Amino acid sequence: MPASIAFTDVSVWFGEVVALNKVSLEVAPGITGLLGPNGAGKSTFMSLCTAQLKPGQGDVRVLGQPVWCNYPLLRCLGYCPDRENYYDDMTGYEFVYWLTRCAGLFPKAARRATESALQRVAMTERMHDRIATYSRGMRQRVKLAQSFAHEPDVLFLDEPMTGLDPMGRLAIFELIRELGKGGKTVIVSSHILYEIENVTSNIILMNQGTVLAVGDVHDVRALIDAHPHSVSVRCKAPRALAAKVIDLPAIVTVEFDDDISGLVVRTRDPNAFYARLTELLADPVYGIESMHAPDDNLQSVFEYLVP
Amino acid sequence: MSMENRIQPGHFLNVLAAVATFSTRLFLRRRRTWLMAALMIVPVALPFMAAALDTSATRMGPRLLVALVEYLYLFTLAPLTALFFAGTLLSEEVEGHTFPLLLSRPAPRSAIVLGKFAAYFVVSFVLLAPAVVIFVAGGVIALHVSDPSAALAVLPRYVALVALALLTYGALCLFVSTIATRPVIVSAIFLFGWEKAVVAIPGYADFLTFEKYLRRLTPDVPFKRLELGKLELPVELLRTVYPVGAWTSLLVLFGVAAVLLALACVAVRKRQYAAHGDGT
Amino acid sequence: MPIYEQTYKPWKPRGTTRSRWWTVAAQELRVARTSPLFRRLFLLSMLPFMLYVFVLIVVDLMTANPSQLLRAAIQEVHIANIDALFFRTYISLTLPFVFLFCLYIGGGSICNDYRNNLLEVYFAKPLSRFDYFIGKLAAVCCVPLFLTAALSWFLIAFHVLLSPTAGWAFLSANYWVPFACVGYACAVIVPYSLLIMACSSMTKSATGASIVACAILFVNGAMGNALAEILRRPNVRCISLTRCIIYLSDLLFGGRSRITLHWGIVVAGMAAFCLLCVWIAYRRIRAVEVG
Repeated sequence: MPASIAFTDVSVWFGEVVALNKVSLEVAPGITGLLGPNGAGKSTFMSLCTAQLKPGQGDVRVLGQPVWCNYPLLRCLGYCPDRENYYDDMTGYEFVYWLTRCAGLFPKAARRATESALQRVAMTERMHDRIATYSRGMRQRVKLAQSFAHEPDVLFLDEPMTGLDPMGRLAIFELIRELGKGGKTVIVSSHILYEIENVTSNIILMNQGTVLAVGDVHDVRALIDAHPHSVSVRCKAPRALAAKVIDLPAIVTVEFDDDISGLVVRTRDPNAFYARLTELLADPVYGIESMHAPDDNLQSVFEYLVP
Repeated sequence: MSMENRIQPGHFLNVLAAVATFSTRLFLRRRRTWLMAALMIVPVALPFMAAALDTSATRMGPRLLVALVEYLYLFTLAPLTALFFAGTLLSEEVEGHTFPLLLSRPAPRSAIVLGKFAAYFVVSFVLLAPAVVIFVAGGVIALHVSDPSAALAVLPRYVALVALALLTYGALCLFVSTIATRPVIVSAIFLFGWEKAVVAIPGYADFLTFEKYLRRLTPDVPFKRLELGKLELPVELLRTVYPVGAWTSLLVLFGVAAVLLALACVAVRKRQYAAHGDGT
Repeated sequence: MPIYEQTYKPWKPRGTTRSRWWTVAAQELRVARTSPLFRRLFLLSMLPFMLYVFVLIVVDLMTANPSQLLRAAIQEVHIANIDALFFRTYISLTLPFVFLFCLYIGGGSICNDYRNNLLEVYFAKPLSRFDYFIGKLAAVCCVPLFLTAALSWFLIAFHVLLSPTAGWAFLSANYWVPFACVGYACAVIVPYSLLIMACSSMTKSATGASIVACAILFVNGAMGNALAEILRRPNVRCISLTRCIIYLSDLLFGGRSRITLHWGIVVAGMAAFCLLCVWIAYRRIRAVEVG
């Protein structure tokens, strides 16, 4: 699949501060989470992709084209910035409508697009009220609506869940998943792992202006050799099971649970361990009830890769 | 929606019109616009006050009115309006962090700048021109001008001059706002410092002001010269004034406005707004 | 520490109450001085001072020269007469810079805090609204006061230092000049600062506040000029704040003025204007609720 976004040796400096340092990556269509602590370079990444910034060095391409001042390309992009930026004197409807008009849509089409976008973020009821009277969550939803009202092919959402209540978050998770369908590209940035995990397993992990990892979170986890994988197994005979798996070459440690109802195995080769476990699964002597990998998630990847 | 089959926008002009309409609406919703409108209408009270406080003022009639239109509207309120509106066109978007929303649209940056400038020009002209007309009409009534046609005859020319002043001063303030972090201070230095202080500098220095060219275009009527604001100039500062032609003045004013607008477009096109104080 | 000693203790501020407003002022100045525009403006504003220092050096050293010819030549030059008006002219020359500094620091003084929700942060600390207001006012007035009052005192001291005989003679005959300098500086700086702070409290952006302040001052000045010329009554000029300030400086330094209004009326008018500005600014600050 051709890459929607391609960075080649991209560096950006703000004075003496290096915001991005020789970043090279490719992002395929679908939902991708841009993850990293504050100051990692997530917003700079988004600014480069949406023609807010010009790279100091290197090449940024979206849909195969350079971005800076490429207005026809910008028609295919949507952007929801992280900052609280609104025209407070306008209503939510006007805000989305005028920004959609500025995206090049004629009045009739812009009206239709605005109504549809506001409906998708559940803002139809309050859309004719002034933005100044909105709660933070409502403002966020209106800001989100303007980003996809003109149906862009590539959507950049910079911390879109900020200020939303749990119900609002669920709705936005659903919306992002929906937006990511049909070959579109959605980049969602956040420093909250749970938010990204809810919408995608495909991540770009950044820290201090560099890209630490790109790809599926499980694949990334599998590549981290420095930290053995943990597999927790609940079974009736943990000691017998331990004796059976301890001889596997990549096993690092085997620990028993406090209540002796299971064991935690640390291994550098989880696939070999899972293969052995599958063989033992049918044997009633061990009574294997369940198993899970507590560190095969984003949190662990984040903790292992970000010093 | 792919790039080929998406709704084809009427590109530059469509976007320019959208930005202009959108910015006009924003102007009309701001309290500051109405404060400026109030300031513009305040001088209307002057002829009435003059007539009430001093009956001899009525003798001055059209002469007084024309002098006041020049002094108050052409050389005080027009630059102030430019500073007020054009000086904040872009800086408010930058300060309010709303500029990224516009810049991420498929709108050529020059269309955004020119659209905003068009909005400024329309709003300020719609506020200032009627204020001039009301002022003159009020003056004709208050000062019991025996020959109102004399004053009213020059009114269209002053309205046109107000438009020209708004265009040139506005273009300057807009350009300054694209290159300076505190545009108001820089523009104020030029409009109310340099333009006024240059009277004291000998030679051709006054050719570097807008006021010289605008003054040349004012109607040359026999009853005109009252020279408000210049009466206290020390004698030693009086100097030779080199004349300039009317057509040259017109050409210079339009030319400078066009160049300043073009420079503003170039400056916005080159500038990276996300690099100013935002997070990484 | 034993648990019984860990009871609630009322907060006792270190330092005195007086220093709290200074924290606000110092922070405001610290932020302002980081800007290159501020530094350039400051350097530019030092030009009149440098010019006057140069004139003082030339005049004081030349008059010490026994050559009658030189002395006579210097006395012919208007600026070389070191009298009360010499120092008044110095302050007048710095006035555009004073206004620009007031605009620069004062424009964003309250509105920036308001926009960034910093007022709540300030008032959640042991800082009263009065401390905050005084701190902001001090920050706005600080640089202009330095440029006018402090540097004019320096010029007087420099004059005495360079030419002790002439200097002391000048001071004993014009002992009121240093006070007049401070009076003139305050007459300019306090109304300008308060006006800009009031504008800052009414708008959302520093640019907006600066523009509203400019609009009020320039329209006010133009109206005063126009009305005075129409009516041919110079006293009507006192509608204009700037004209009031110039008139007060005439009174303080013994200059000539076409205005014949009693100084008390002018001072009362300016005081009323200042109180109005304080009321507008303080109203916004008081409206902030914490918690």
